Amino acid sequence: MDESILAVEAKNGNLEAFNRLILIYQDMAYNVAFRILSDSDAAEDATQISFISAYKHIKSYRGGSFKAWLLRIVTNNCYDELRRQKRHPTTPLEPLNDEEEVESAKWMADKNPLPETQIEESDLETAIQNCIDHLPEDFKVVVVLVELEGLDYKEVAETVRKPLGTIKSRLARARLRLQKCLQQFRELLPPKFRLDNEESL
Amino acid sequence: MKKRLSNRDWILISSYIDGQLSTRDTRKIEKRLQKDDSIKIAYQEILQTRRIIRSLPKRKAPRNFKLTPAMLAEHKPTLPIAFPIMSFASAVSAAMFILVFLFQNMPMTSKSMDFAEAPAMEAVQESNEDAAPIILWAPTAPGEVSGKGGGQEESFLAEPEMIVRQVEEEMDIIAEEAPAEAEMEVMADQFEEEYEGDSQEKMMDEAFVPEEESPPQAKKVEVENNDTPAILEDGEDQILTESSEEEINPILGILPTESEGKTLPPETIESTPIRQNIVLGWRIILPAGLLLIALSTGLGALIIWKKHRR
Repeated sequence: MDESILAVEAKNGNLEAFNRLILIYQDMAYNVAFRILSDSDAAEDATQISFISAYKHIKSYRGGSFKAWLLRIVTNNCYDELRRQKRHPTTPLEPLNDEEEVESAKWMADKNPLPETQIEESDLETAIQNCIDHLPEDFKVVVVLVELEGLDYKEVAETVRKPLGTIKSRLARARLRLQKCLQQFRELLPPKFRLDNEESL
Repeated sequence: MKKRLSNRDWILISSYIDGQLSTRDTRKIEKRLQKDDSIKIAYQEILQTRRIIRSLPKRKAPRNFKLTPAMLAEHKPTLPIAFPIMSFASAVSAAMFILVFLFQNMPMTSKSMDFAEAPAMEAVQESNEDAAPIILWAPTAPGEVSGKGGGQEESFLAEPEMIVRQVEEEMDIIAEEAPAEAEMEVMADQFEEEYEGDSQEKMMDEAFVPEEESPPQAKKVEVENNDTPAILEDGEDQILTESSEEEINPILGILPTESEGKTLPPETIESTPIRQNIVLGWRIILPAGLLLIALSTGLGALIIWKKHRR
């Protein structure tokens, strides 16, 4: 069934229709929340809260891209969570993994990567996520929506409620920052991601 | 050597990679890519960064996020009862403040406030200018409240102009009914003669002298009809009827009861502090209090809402 029809039915209070929309978009919503928050539990909570909030405010959906409307709710909840984390920073007292040694626990380490750590870092995903985490919130959301979810600029502008020029500018600056950040992990990059001029360096 | 690019160049290259440029801008940037090595390197770098970011795996939802009616009920915000109460109090007091403020600043209202004060102050000013003594008078008829001005401050405040008129009318009556100065002297002589004769008879009979009833410096005049008011002359002498001690009241309700029978200098006449307090309360304290209540309750409601938002 078309998502616009499902959205209309959901507007009329049909929870089943809304649940079908959830099934369509839950992976995307969770992925966006995870890349912005960089924490699976927080992303899970944010996704669930976003769907509840979306259903309660379904009357405010007035046609257009349902995906953009839903992603706006998700990103807003992520912003709230990030602000809450800043207000109440927490550090786990116990290691997240049982196998992890307390002496070498990641949670004890300095956030700034040391040269040895950078060399030992073998997980490219962690490196990229680390670079995304260091972006400003507004840049982060644009990068996640464009690069990871494949939204076009207009959809992103609709989602974050900013002009198209702002989206272009934020994305260009975010890419520039990511490029500089990723240079720290050049050794981790597979050959297909290396530039010819880099290899010659 | 690598040339430093402007922000606009980076934006153009980034948008070109995503295919978000207009045809004209696309042609421009393509021409520059062929000629300018710096642009070419920047293009390759951004393209590489884009490829790396897009290589991130997509995370799948760890569970199903479908909603149930129970979940929707659980997430209803439960704000404490103080929140609606404080919100309502804040709204009401704010509305009242606005109403009071507007009412005070309406042209008609401000004039009426001035009007309420003006006649009384005029009367005071007149008395000051003429330096006339305060006249106390006895009731015009038995059982009637004398003066109609003393002891009724509320009516005085409510209808100051009427009271001033009453005072003027009664002043006229006093002037008409009061005997002339010459007549008064004759009457006083007659009284002294009669009094001396009576006292001699009484001394003979009972040896009774009512010293306390006759103050040494006051001349007591017995008038045939008690309607004649007592008049203070030259600020020293006074003429009082026997019944005046209980019922006499000051003009304009200004003098306290202890000052009966005394002439007050014009400087002692002041506007009543009660009236000043009422005006002060109406003009300043009431709106300031309402504003304070509105702000404090509103702030309290905001704090409660912020605490329970999440």
